Amino acid sequence: MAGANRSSEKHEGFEVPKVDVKFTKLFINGQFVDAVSGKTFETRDPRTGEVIARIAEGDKADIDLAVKAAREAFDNGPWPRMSGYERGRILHRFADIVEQHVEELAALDTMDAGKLFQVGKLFDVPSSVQLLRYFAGAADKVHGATLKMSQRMQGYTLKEPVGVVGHIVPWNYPTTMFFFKVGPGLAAGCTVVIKPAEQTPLSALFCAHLAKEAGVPDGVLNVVPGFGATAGAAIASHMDIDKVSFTGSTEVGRLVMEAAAKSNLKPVSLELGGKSPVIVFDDADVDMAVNLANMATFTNKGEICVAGTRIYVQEGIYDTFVKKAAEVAKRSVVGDPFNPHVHQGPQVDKDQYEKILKYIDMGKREGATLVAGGKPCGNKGYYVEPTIFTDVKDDMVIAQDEIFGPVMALMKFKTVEEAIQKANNTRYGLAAGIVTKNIDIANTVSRSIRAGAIWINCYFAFEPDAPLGGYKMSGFGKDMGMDSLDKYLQTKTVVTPLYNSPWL
Amino acid sequence: MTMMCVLPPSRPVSLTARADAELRIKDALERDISDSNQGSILEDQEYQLIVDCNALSVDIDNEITIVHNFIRDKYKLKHPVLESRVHHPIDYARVVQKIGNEMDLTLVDFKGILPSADIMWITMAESTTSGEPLSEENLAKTIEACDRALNLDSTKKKILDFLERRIVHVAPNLTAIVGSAVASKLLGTAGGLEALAKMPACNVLLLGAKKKNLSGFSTATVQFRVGYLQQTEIFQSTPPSLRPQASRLIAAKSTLAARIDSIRGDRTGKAGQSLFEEIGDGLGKGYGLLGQAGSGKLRVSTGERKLISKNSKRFKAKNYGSSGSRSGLASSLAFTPIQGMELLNPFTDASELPGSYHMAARRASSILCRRLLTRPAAASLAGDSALAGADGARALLPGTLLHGRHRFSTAPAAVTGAAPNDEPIQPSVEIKHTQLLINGNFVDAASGKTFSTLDPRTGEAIARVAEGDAEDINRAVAAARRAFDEGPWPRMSAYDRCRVLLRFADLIEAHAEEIAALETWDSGKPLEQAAGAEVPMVARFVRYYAGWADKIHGLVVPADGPHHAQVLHEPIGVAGQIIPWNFPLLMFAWKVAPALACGNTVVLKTAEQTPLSALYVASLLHEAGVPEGVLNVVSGFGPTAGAALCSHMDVDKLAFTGSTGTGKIILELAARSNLKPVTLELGGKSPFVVMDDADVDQAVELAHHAVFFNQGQCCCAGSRTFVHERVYDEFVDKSKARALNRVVGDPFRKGVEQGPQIDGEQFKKILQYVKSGVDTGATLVAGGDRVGDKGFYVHPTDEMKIAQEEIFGPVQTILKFRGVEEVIRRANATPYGLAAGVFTRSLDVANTMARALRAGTVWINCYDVFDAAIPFGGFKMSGVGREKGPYGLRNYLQTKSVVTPIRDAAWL
Repeated sequence: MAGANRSSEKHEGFEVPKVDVKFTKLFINGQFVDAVSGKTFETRDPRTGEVIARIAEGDKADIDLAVKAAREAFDNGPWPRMSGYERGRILHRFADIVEQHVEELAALDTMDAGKLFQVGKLFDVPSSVQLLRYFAGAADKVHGATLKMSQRMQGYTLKEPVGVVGHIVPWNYPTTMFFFKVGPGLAAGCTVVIKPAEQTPLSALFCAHLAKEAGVPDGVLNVVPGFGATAGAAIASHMDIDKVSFTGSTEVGRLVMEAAAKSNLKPVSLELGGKSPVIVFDDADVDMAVNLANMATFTNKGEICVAGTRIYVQEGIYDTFVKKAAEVAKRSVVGDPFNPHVHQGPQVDKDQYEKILKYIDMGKREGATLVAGGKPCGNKGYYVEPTIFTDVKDDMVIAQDEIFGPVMALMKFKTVEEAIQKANNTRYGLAAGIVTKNIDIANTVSRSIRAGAIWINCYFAFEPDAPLGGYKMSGFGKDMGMDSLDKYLQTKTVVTPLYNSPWL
Repeated sequence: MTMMCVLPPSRPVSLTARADAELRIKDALERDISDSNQGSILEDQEYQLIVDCNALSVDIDNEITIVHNFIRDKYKLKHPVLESRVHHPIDYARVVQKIGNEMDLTLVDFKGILPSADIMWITMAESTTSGEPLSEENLAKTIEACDRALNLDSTKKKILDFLERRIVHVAPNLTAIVGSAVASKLLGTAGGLEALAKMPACNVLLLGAKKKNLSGFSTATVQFRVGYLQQTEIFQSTPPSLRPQASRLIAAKSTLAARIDSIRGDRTGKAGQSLFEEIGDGLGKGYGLLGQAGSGKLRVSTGERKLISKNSKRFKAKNYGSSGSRSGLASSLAFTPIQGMELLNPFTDASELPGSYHMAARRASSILCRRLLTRPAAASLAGDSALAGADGARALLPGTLLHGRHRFSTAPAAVTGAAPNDEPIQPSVEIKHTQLLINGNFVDAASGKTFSTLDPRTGEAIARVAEGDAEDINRAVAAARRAFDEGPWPRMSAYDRCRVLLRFADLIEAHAEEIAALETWDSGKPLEQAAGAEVPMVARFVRYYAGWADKIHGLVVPADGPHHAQVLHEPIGVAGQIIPWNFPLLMFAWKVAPALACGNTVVLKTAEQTPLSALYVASLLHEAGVPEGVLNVVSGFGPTAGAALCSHMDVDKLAFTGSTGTGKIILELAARSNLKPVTLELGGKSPFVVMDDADVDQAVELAHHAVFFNQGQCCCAGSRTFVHERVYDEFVDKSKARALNRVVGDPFRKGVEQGPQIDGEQFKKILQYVKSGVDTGATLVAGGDRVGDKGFYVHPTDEMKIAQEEIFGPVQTILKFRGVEEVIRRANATPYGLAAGVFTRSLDVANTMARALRAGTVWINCYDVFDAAIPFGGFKMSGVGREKGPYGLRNYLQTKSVVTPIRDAAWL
């Protein structure tokens, strides 16, 4: 079994980079400060469950201070009054500085969230740098339009920064999510109050320090670690925040939107949960499809909103697929995320760990067949084996709920129509994968699935220029791409009468 | 029109100078001329006199022009159309004298004065136009002026006669070949024997050549060029079939003769005589062997080997080189000094030359300067306009003697205004790259040829630059083709391309000082402008397009039926780009940055006047990591390198910024070759409209900058200033004051607002425009003449003139208007449509004008705002396409629609 390969307790053959946790306080108006209440909370290492550091715990009072600083920076500060080019140059410098600290950021996320260090260092953090550069380059490309008025009028639109933006980000990709939100917000000329997840506050605070070094003016970026019920709720219901953008679970998303509606009707964008399908057709290369499906489910230990956790396989290759998928899952090495040979680290915290095990248990009880994994591993930390269920029915809980863990539900289908119908049978609509060589199937299915991202013969094809966001209860509003800038811009239409124009 | 009321003073001061010269001529004729073989030719009294005479004849020419203007302005009332047919001032004076106040022209006998066709025309025109007789007083003054013009003319003829007769003394060998008349003309046009001696034969061939307009209904506009050499006896006696060959041979031999003369090689003229005979021999042998002439026969060495190497070294160190015209045609044949030196008289001690040469030159210049200080005759005659010096091209002048390397015969020493005094400031930059950049390497031109790039402050060479021609363009295009078809550039991710460009921008900033100094040195623009505005703008452009690289979006389009349709924007391929000399670096960025961001490869031809900065920054781009062959830079001339690029079958796209005339040629070459798409950003004559509610002070300042910025060398210069009649006078007064305040001088000096014009050609052209403005009745209120005795500085000029042509110089024309509709009509009455400025506080006027003006950019209460994101380009004959902003990307992208059926589509 997979347990034979585990090496979570030993540090043989690899090095754990020594990273000091330098920033544990709230970052408000360019300063690291204690919480008003003086309270702190623990952030723990999911490899061991041990405390890494004590972090200042922001709540409503701290959010008020942060919003005040952001308001001041927006209303009277230089940031929205700089040219897009100047903002872009500061963001370029920010990207350069982040690039110099790739390893530290990756290590902080590994310590704090159990993410694979190698992946963080080689992929996640460099991608964040790329994303930041993308928005640095977008800062001077915010275009309004001149309008074709049907009367004797001159009309045009202005795209103006929306104001003070509240961000609430999750713990699964702490650094990436930070830049998903902060990049376009700052590029648009907004000022930001961001609350990182209480599980993973370290990299956001570190990035705040780097932003200051890059020349982001005081008050433009404020980072307040804390809990959703206090700090998060304060952001969502704040009367002086002009926009709130949230990434997290569908349940919390609903609360955020409700708070926004009850306070100042601030516009909201939500990037929520998913239960994304991967549809494998008969003509697919089975090995490729198996690897793709396993990647779709198990990447980042399944803690990723766009994870492809419902795998639909056409009946012709179903049996082969199941066999191979189980083999691949069993070969997967679960262990210390600093170990470069490890494929899967620990779940982020005890809550998640227990929730996943509960869902596995539920799957078994509902009658699904367990073909791989299904157990925790190691005697310390929150490790779960890569788990595959077959014979899953569409109405089982493990086929409907977002588990946010390494649990794959494998299902069989016969026709294209059936696959479409099954794939759409979910309250979510974040992403979908299609594996086929047939252009007609690819085109038909990609139009038919109600989801914000369709990956054909690939998965997790993230690109700064490719917008990402959900259909249905997966949320609304896009992250990444030029679309995401729009979230942080207001449109103002300006019209004036026009006399003696030679044309209309 | 104040100047028109000023009567000619009774005795122009220059008459004294003339009398003085006549006296000296007489003197010299009486004196027994001693043929001194000692020292330089410049120490020769006789030569001095000839130089003086030549200068004087130019002065006389100028004076004739002014007198002519006077006559014409008076006589216009009597005969309004005469000037349109009789152009020559002396002919005009003769005709005026002949007609007087006679109303019936059939009674006037024009025989011997005008050709019969003109007589007929004038007689006919008289009957259809309404002239009025002049008053007694005016007639008398006009006739007096005519007398003076004819008198001046006859004096000039005497001087020229004298010159012709004495020329045999100065240039015995040259005279032996071409005869004294042609020899004196050659010397005059070239700017002295020294200058002539340094000119390559192919340029000598062109001296005196004029483009001639054909009359009648002919569609051809120019005739074949006929220069002075074609007027020689030997040429005229050659059968037509051999004439092309003959003119080349004569030019070659004449050049050699001039070189011998210039170092006083053989005073007997025997060398010239034998060269003359060689021409005959050459032509005789060439009979039936056409095409084999010029096989090197001319380059036989008769000197000692030792001397050859000595000379060659000396000339190399001094950077002597081909002199003469800057036109591409003339300079496309290069000249190596050694070829000329080989035929030097071996008995001449050349090593003595430099010291005495310079001393003599200084003396010569001081004599002439002193004499020329008595020159303001012309000025007093024409009110306060001082046009002298504008047409100094035909003089043997100390400017050219003092600076042996001075390539411009348009550099007279006629100092009138405050000179940009002192020595030019030495730029603190090293010239690292002068070769062509092809496939990632700096290489020599295939032909091995080079040309000089000049410092506009002095007209002296900064460096010799490899001169690319068709062969080099072929090599560059091949490299670019390979880099596009097989290389990594179009295949790397947009993010990677973006990062290369970002690094490039960082490097530009890191080297900003050197780049700015190089730009100022080569183009004469103020250093503060280059360093403070242009170099940062270049970095800004590069960053702007770096940011676009990963944001190039096509549309997914709604189909009518069950189809899926998407649009891909792909790089267009190998882009050929030709940039001008007025903003060498900015134009580099406008062209190269979007092309590279889109994934294209580029062959760039820089302007021959300003090749240096592009080569420098191109090397930085390679340092930033651009793969080889992606950017190729070929320095060279339009007719050779430029034309080759435009007609190349492997170039997929052309972008050009420059004159409308050249733009037409480029479009034609593209059409004749592979129909490559062309973007053109051409000339303009942009209106700057000041309404009566405008803030006049602000408008004056901005109008001033709109036209004088960059020495007036901006395609979008707001050169037609329309001012509402209610604020007109105030505006003109303030504009004049502002123009007079403008600091013109060495562009490296702090606080200087305006440097020299780019080169002699531009300089001369501008002064001619100023002259034509005055001639057609505009009032010159400021400037109008040359500044300094070196380089190409022009006083900022304000005048009123309804001008249609692009001057490309510091010349502002201020026009009066009454209403919005009128000014819109007049502002649009131009073949150009590049830009426009509107000054008003009225929102409605601003909106109306913004829409009504047919121009690519309308600046309201501002001017010359050039953000990277604002598209720029012309209506009408100002060009095709837009640069900058997202629109600039379109020039370098192909659009591909991809369509495929979609089965059972969930939606359409």
